Parts: sequence; C-alpha cells; structure tokens
Amino acid sequence: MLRFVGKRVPTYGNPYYDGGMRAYWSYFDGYHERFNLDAVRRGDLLLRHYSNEQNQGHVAVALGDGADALLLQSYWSHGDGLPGLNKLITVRTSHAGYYYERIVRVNNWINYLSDEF
Amino acid sequence: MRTVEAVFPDQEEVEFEVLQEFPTFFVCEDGTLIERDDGTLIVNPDAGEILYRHIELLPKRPQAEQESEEEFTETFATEAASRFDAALEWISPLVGKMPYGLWTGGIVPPGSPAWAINRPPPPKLSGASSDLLRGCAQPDVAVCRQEGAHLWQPLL
Repeated sequence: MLRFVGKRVPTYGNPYYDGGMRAYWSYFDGYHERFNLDAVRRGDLLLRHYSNEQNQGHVAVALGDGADALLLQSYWSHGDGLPGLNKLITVRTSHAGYYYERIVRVNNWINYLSDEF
Repeated sequence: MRTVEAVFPDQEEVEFEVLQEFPTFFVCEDGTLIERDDGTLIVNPDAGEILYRHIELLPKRPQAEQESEEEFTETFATEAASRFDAALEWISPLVGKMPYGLWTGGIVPPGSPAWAINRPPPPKLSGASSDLLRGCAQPDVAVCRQEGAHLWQPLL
C-alpha cells in the first residue's frame, strides 16, 4: 500500500530488517499512540511489537471505525500460507483482549506528503 | 567487510559478517545479534531490552510537507479521497488471493516473498501469477533468525 502511493518502506537500517516489524515500530516512533479498542478508526495501522522468534509482532489496517470494524491483515493459520491477505475478522476478535499495543493514525502512516521514492 | 567472532555456549567461536553497528551490539548476517563488549550471542532478544535499545538511532518518519488539493489530485486523480483510499482500492483485488509467505533465510529479498524494494507495484493485477500478486504488496515482516525459517506477511 505504501509503495502504491509512492512511499518508501520503513527500514531498520540494514537489509535484514527492511519492512520488518521493528522497522515499522521505530520508524513511526513518536507517531503511534496507545492502543484503545474503541478509538480505532478507519485506516488506522495497528501494531504489536517484535519480541522474539516466537512472538514476531504484527500489523493490521482497520477498514472501519470501532471494535467491530474488519481488519485488513495477513497471517497463516492453515494450508499453504492460508488465509494470507484477508479481511475476515474484526478488531475486537483479533485483539482478543490483549494483542495490539499501538495505533498509527491514517494521517501518520500513509495520508501525508513525504518519504516519496 | 567487518567481521566479529561470536561466542556460542559450548561451541567454538564463529565468525560473522557485521551488517550494522550499534553502540552496544552488532547486527550480523542471518539477523544474528552479538554484544559488542564480549562477543556474546544474544539469544531470543527481548524487544524492550535489546531490540529497541538504540531506537533513537534508527531511521524515522520525516516531517510531512505541505500539499495543496490540486497537487494531490494531480497525483491520485479526483476519485481518490486520500492516499489510503487509493491504496485500498489497489490492494482490494488481492484479498483472498495472496498467501502468507515463508522464506527460509538470507537477506530480505527484493523478490518473492518479501519484495523489499522501493519501487512502484504493477498497476494492474488481472492475470497475474501468485508470485506477481505477492510482488504487488509491501512486506510486513518481522525478520529474525528462526532456525532457518522466516515468516512474512506480504501486506503493507
């Protein structure tokens, strides 16, 4: 999505981390705020940080407002990389009471002019 | 090319190529993290303790520039209300068609499944192969050393 609008991929500073969860977290440092289920708005980027190999973090994009909005995200739960990119579940279900930690508002991760390649 | 010798528990020292130097640790090939002071391998690094130790030194999002409505329209046409809407319209045909990728090591590749490269994605998706579909998306990945396996979420 970022590349489609001409923006660079957040990078950690070396080719092992380009586009990685650490890169997103640090790149938008100062632009993300504490996650609040009811404060989610359309276009928000939801973050969970990278902790370790078993808990590698996650990002998702809210497709509507509030806890019952669907999320655009990608994960692997069955089969060969399936469901992959999907909008099958809500913010509330995906959060499961604890998961997401930060929100980058839509105007801070994609709706701004800067960082064009 | 700088190298560093890492100390593995109960093993001989192993030499790694240093990709990135931080004040207290090195980032080496395969995403291996090594303490600078004694060459100790950082096993299962904790985000709070290690990975964000030098967050102030990492690349940051720059300040936004001023943009008029006319300038935006010139770039994204009149039907797109925002960059987000334009990107959402582009990615929507990929929903349900782009599997989560598994990549087994090496640098973050500019091709499948990561496509970690800054250039425009293909504008049209009809008839695209699964690889091309993946190539249209931005990687959202937590890259780490994981017994040779890396998980990828080709999305953003």
